[in-house]
Amino acid sequence: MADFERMGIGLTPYWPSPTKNVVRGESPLWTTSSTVDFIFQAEETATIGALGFWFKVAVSQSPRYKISFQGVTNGAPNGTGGGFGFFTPPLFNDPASWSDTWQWVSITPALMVRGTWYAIVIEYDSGTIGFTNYSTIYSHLVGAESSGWPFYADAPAGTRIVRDEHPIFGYRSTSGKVYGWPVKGHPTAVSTPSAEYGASEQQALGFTMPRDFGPEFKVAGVMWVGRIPENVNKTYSVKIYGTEADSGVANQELASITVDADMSSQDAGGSLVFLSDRVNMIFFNEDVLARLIFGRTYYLAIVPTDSAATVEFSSYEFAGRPELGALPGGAYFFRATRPSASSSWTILNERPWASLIISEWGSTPQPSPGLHTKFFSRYNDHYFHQHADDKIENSLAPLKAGQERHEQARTVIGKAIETYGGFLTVEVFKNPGEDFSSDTIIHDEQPIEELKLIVWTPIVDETAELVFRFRSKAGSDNFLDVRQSVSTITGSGGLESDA
Amino acid sequence: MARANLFRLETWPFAGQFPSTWTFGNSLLNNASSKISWFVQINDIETITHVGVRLERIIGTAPTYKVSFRNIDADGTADPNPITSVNYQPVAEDLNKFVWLELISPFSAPRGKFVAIVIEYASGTIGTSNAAGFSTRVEGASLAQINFPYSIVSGERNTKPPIVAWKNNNRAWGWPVEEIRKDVTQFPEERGMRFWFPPNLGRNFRISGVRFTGRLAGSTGKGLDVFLADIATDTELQRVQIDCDNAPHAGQADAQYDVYFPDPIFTIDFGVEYVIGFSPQNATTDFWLTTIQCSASLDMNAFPGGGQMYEVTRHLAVTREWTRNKANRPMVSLIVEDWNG
Repeated sequence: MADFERMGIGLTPYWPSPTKNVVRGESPLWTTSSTVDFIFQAEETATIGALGFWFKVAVSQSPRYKISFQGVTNGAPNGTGGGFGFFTPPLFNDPASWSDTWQWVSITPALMVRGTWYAIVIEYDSGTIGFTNYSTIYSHLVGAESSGWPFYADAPAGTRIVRDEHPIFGYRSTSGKVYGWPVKGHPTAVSTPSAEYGASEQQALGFTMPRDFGPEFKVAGVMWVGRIPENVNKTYSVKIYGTEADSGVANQELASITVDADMSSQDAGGSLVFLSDRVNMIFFNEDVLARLIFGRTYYLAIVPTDSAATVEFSSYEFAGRPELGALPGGAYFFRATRPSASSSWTILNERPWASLIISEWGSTPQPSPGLHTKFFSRYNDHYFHQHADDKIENSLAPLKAGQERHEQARTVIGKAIETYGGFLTVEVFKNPGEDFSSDTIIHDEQPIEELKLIVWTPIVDETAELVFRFRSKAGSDNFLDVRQSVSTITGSGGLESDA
Repeated sequence: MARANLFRLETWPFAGQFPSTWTFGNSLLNNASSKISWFVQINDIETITHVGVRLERIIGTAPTYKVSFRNIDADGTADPNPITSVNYQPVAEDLNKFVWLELISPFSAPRGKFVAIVIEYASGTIGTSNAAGFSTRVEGASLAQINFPYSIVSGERNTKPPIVAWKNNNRAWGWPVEEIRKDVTQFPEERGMRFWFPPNLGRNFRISGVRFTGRLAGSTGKGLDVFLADIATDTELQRVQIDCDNAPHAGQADAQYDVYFPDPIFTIDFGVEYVIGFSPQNATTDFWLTTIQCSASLDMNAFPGGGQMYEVTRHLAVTREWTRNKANRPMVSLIVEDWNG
């Protein structure tokens, strides 16, 4: 796999600002000159058939409003028409009330062109309007300072004011694809309260990296936002779980690290202070990180490790699955929850506030000088398949059809190996230098799956160098030599070789 | 090709908002009991030979300080016994530099180990007239609040991104920030971020936009173009023209901009050098692109994306060749539309 240099797969529109408890902010539309507009750049070319916003409340009978998208001049809507539509919100106590719901308003379909700046504008159209007859929408996230683009402006009293906070808006193509930031609100407002967490409940970022991205990748860590246990001497864990499709075992734990919650920027000298959600950058501690497969679903969970410890994994909430698709990464990344580690995950239309930190990312399976293999005299096979550069199934998993066990030294690895970087055969040489002959060979060329695990002591000493010569076709003149230097692993009872 | 759904390849060392007032948060060590501790996590399997800190000031003749790696005890505090350390007496030529110090013995840490890096008084005269100050963190009104990693200065915990790093001869980790640059770029100058991804990351991909932090021209009628180009062939592939008047914070403060290219979006290859370029269109367009400066190109390995993503500049009136500033990282993230692995 290629070194991904710990780049983050950015899934969040922004990171938490210092402001405590970012919540939704509103823009009242209570005069004939009140407006709210959202300025953004079209992400791609599409025919737009609906515009969306998060409606707060209608006060008495609301007037009718117009919603449209327009061109932009000098950072403001220029009235140059795109599509438009109208809406009249029901009364707040109407069974069909829009109170605190995401609303799509159909418009006359019109084209948005990738890279062009547009404004979505909501303004008064007709009907009685005043301080007793109006509607309010949630236009932004208070305290989530935004950016150059997108941004929003409103004019509660008729004078347009450009705002700093992150806007809440959306637009939808006639084919149903959603764009913008159609988020309900700040994670703290919507995530499960800490009191509901117990020792066994788990909250996770479910993620499926699309299959076409490549064959395999490794997650080195995560940047996640939330609150850690508030009491002293508590811990929590960050874990990655696989699925049955991945390992043959439901809820297979692929990575885990326990974090002492006392290590916190919020512990003020023993008097714990928790003002707001914070960013936690946590890396896993496995010697060799788990290989994750593109196209399969994994769950990155933040787990309290004792009953008195609570954690809160912050999450955005969306009106539905299509709206979740508007965020970076789309609906492939979602919040999942379950009552215990042995339960099935429930998938929600939410996006946890997190980014994956990727260490390696593979393209087509091919060997590289980075092959990494370990051999142990006592633990041989278990460690072999953890560390070999192949796709061996997990030894702890139930056997699949056609697979064979291979835990014992001197027994063949057998059909557990699915592939070894595309190679079929292997020769093994000891201290060959430049002499790859019968003088240095310790295993003749043979199918990789027939290679017996090396029982160490009788064969090599602690300073040996082994060379594994791999071929994709038996007897081929083309091969790859992988050199393995050897050192003792303290306390493991075995020897390590590492290329 | 797989739809990437516009995920960003985040290449910034800090999670943050538009950092309008980025500065260094500094701490003066002027008595024998004052100290700075950074709590960090080793995120690779390597032998560490050096530790790095940023020297911010010297008063009089600075005493000698000890910089050490410590285990973290069960109560979350740094163990009093160093794993390894190095003594350092600050000197004038190190001022405002990120200083690498060779440890008296290399430190081999497993991946994921939590450690503290502590700098404290060791010997010599110390007091209000003989002291040194170090940059402990990046300050910025809109920077994210960090829970971990973090720093403690004389008992006070800090939520802003730490400034501390460690390395060996091959690689660096942490946040070895020497300076935060805001170099004004004016027509016909151009500035950008060169990037190159390994060939075995996949076959090809497409970039639909970029996220960058900087400042746009404040006066009216100014333009800034952002473009994607192949460096080797000097072939421009995509360009978006920005009317700075459309920006809400132009000329006032740094802001974070998500910018998308118009059609067509080209398929580009792994293993090829590209640049995301920023081209002011007017002589008085005082654009800047916020950029982190390290002390050496190796230090760039500490940042996401590693040493393959760095600043380039050119002056079109002189040459179309890019000058490569391999120790500088512009605040640019790529918005990926498709990825074909």
